[in-house]
Amino acid sequence: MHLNSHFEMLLQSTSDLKAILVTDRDGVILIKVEEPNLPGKVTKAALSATFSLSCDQVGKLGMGKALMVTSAFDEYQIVQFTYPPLILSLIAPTNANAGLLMEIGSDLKDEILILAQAVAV
Amino acid sequence: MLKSKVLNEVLRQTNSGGVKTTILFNPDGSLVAFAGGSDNDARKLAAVASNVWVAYERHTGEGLASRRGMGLMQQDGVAKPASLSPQPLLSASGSISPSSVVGPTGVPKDEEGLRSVMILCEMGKLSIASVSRMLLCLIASEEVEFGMLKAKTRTLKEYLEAPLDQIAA
Repeated sequence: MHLNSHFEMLLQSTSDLKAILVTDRDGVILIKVEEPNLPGKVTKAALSATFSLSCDQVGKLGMGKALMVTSAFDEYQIVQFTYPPLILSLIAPTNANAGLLMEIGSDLKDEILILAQAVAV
Repeated sequence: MLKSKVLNEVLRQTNSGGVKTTILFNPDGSLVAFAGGSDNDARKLAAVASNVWVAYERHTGEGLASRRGMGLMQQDGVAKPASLSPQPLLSASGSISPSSVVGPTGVPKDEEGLRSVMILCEMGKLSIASVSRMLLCLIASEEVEFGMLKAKTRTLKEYLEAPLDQIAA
């Protein structure tokens, strides 16, 4: 619950951030914090099965594991981080500061990994 | 008729400052042109990059936005480079056909909202974008900043869009 409220505070303090999702690699949602008027199809797009599939594919290129994927759409961009076995997704408008989203995602690594340890048991 | 030598030369101009390979390929993964690296690597990259793109596009097939027809460039207001290539890409100039109603993977353009995909790996970065009915992928080392990779992808996409639209028509 503390993590949930932490994410809510982060959402309120970052104007461009519209939603934060923590899912497992099958797309099952563990934590979801979003702004009230966000269309459902946007968060659906962030469900992480596609991300997992992409990471698996990219792993075959000999460039090491995929750590982050940024996908930009007409209105929204989704930045997804892999913190095995969990996936963190940040959703923001396309014109939002992508660098800021990447930084937020990196800053949340410790929190997500604590959650990952709890889930892995 | 597409001048393959000129196309390769245009792609090669992107390979600087940490960008190692640039490939142009069809959404089914078949390679059209590449610059940098071996052709085996390029084929492998094309196959994987098309898989990733199609996965994202299919997943969001119903579209995140209803509006379409506004490319990656137009909103960002990046000036079109006048001297990117020394020669025209097409051997015969023709009128630019109206933009197709179908996106690279067959998803109607009105519904297809995916603009670009960028991937950070442990030992490199990838940037994928659609150009006309094809896909463009830049592979860079991990030192290259995402902003620079994005700008290069955007500039190349803008330059190739009109000539490739004529081929796709």
